[in-house]
Amino acid sequence: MRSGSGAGFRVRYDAAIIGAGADGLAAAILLARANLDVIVVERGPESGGRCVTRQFAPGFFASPFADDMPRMPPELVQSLGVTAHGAVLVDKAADGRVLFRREAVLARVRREAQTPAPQTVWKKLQAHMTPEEGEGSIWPGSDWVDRSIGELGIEAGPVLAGRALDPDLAGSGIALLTTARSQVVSGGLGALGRALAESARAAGAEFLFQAEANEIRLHRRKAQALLLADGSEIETEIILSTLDFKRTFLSLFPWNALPAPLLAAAGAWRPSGARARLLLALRVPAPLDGPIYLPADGDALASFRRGSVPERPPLLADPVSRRDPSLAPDGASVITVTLGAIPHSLFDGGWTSDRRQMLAARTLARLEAVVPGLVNNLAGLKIFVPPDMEEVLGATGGDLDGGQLAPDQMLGFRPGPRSVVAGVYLAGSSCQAAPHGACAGGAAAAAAILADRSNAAA
Amino acid sequence: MNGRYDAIVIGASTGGLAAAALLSRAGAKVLLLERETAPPQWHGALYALDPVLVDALGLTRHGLGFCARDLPLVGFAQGAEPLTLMRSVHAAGRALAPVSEADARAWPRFRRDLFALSRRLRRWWWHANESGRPEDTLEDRKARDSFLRLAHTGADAFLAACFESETLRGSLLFDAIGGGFAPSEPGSALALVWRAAQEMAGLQGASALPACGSLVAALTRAARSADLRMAAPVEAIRVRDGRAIGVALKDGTEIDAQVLLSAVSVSAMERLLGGAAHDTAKTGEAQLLFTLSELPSLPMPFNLGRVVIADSAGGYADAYEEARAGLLPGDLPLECIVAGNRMIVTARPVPIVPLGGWAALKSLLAARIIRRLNCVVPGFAGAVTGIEFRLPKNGPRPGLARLLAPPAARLKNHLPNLWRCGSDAEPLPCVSGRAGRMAAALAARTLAGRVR
Repeated sequence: MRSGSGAGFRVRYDAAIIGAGADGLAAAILLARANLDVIVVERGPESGGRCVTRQFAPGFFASPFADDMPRMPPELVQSLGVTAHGAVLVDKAADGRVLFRREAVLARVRREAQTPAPQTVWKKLQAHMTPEEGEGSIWPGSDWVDRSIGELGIEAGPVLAGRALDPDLAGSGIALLTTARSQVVSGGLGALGRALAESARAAGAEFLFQAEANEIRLHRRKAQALLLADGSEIETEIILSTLDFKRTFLSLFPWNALPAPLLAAAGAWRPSGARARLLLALRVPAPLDGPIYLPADGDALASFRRGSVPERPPLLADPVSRRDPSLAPDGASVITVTLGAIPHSLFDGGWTSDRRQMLAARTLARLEAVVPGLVNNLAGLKIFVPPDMEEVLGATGGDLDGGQLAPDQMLGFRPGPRSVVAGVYLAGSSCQAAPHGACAGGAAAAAAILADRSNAAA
Repeated sequence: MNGRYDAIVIGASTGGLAAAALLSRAGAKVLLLERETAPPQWHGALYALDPVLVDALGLTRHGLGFCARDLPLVGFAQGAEPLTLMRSVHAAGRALAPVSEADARAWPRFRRDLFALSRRLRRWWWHANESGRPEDTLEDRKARDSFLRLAHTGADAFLAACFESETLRGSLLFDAIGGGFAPSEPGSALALVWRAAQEMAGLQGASALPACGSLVAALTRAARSADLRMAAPVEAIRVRDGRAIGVALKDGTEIDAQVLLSAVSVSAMERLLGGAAHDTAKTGEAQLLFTLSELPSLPMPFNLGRVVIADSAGGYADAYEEARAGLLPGDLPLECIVAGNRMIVTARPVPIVPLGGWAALKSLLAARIIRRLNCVVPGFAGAVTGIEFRLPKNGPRPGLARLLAPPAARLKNHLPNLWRCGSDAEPLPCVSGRAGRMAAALAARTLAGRVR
């Protein structure tokens, strides 16, 4: 029995993947193509994770959590067959130097994933930091850790919107590797999610929706089975978690099953969810030609840390329907607003509907000052704050980056794709490749799984 | 008056006096120029004084004395019991146990790891012939990994991962930002290792409180064979054919020398060379010396060690942000040391150039500190009879690059016979004299080569 009807069933698969987001789907495609029996376990009712596009007002569509994603490596676009299944990826203007550097990091992660020898932090980091010959690097040698975004003189808007980064702090420059310009998908990110899911189905992967993974059962320190919330069991020796580092190791294992250093590392991992999103449906054509960025005032970061909502958070307003008219009815438009420095937990209670409305009203007032006439033509509005991201996507602290983009949580310091528990792999937003390329974490994990399998067979 | 000298040292700070003393002992004819009428005094605890220098110059014979050594670190937070961390790990563990059992268990390990790494890095910081990158000198893998982790981690994140007690984290963070780092700046965790390396040096134990004025007096005495000229501000360093040839004083006098050593700040030195200002720090520390008519009855830990008053680790981030914006932070972390009838209070972080200028802000700073201390030491405000200020000085922005630069790179600049020997040439600013000693050795080598 292989379908997900009825509780308490027991099945066997070669590999189970937790989460049907882009990374999970990418891994499912690559593993299923390698003739593994793969099941993808998803808590929500549909696949895609953050790669979804939803109707938020009658006739108006937008991707609720993000408009773009880190650029997908070209060879992955090819091998995952997303174009064949209908997704059209469009590069936004990119800083060539950063892009170049990012490709080098991704190439290294892939290469490492295929060699099973565990590497030390030092080796991993050194591999990322030493520029390849002839490579135009904006961080020569290791001194990037000393550079700040401000000092690099790079437009900070896209980096700071949706995050709580201090552009003056040394080391903040490393966040550019992740964020400096990215890819958008025609039809919204949902088109990519759908294409990946179709490609995975075509490759033979199976899906189990509305099934929450509860526990990874170990036997002699090796993965043995994945237990679901409804009591079902999936017997498998390979489990790939696309949850973030913290959530994977602090929530999926019995309390005494993991070595103390791993638990300490997961406990000390710092998520920094700071993103709120406002989706605006307008009855008129977008009054903006392109994205506009309104910077934060000096107190935004301090408010964020104290758990109060900043008066003037960094804000990026993007008229997404200009790029992609299919998102709005004729003559109407969609503007998405990404706010940064919005705390996940407020010091004086939860995110009540009053507070959401207040944040929305404040943001609209700020935008109205720059784009007059916005409020009068509003046909609909939806707001998402960090706890919503946590609830819907399972991102700890509402952090879509899987952890603060600080130098001690980047490159070699990021976990994965392998973990110290045999058979448990990590491909979520926390892992090394994830911030640099969409689906890259899933692809690296799949490469690691296949390399380890062929090694074990040999 | 215009006689030729072998070496001119600009600035009579600890590093300048040390360099002048060592060079004249090596037989050079040395002139030391100081802008003020007397060498600047140091108040506060010493934690970095170079034991090799103390030994070489016989400073204890010249009168260097200590009121107290091995000052324990005392953490004070509102509404919490003071936390006294003695130098002995066991005593500190016992003090921590009632606050947090997990922290009491973590403390010995924290100290051991910190000291193990600082033992390995000492060579890097103190031997002039090291070069390359510090991680390459660390042979074992574990040390290298933990070094790299610290070099990328902010002190606040590092301490949050180690301890749960706010008081403990707050008091340790005071030391970590001593060099001017932001509390969450990557690499500021390494400042704790650097601090541990200083404390391990042996002479002064954890921190030592010098008898008032004795350090400067002993150094001046040790340097007496050099020509000490006070109230002689330097106008410019004269350069010809890519070499420094001497100095020009404000009064128009020109003095020649074969080598020059600068104990003034990097930006001041650049100004003397006619160059542009450096990337300067925005935050620093202010020191206030309170003279007290009679000692108010001090809570016990004040008589015992250096007391850090900080409410929480999170407060540092806010204070840093305010200071960076040019404001006086509302909630300033303070360090207090009692010496006789004086209390030395260090406040960090404060803006180096505040909005409105220090002249206007001085009294506000004093008022805030007195109000804060009055809560902890009842009757403090009434006992104050005098206040002396040491406002933050302009200096280069501290950073990982400087903390990890090869030693020679910190001492040298583009001229072959000009060295830096002041506090700015240390990995992190401190009163040490080590840069003076190392620069004097380099200068002596050049002088010897020239004579030959």
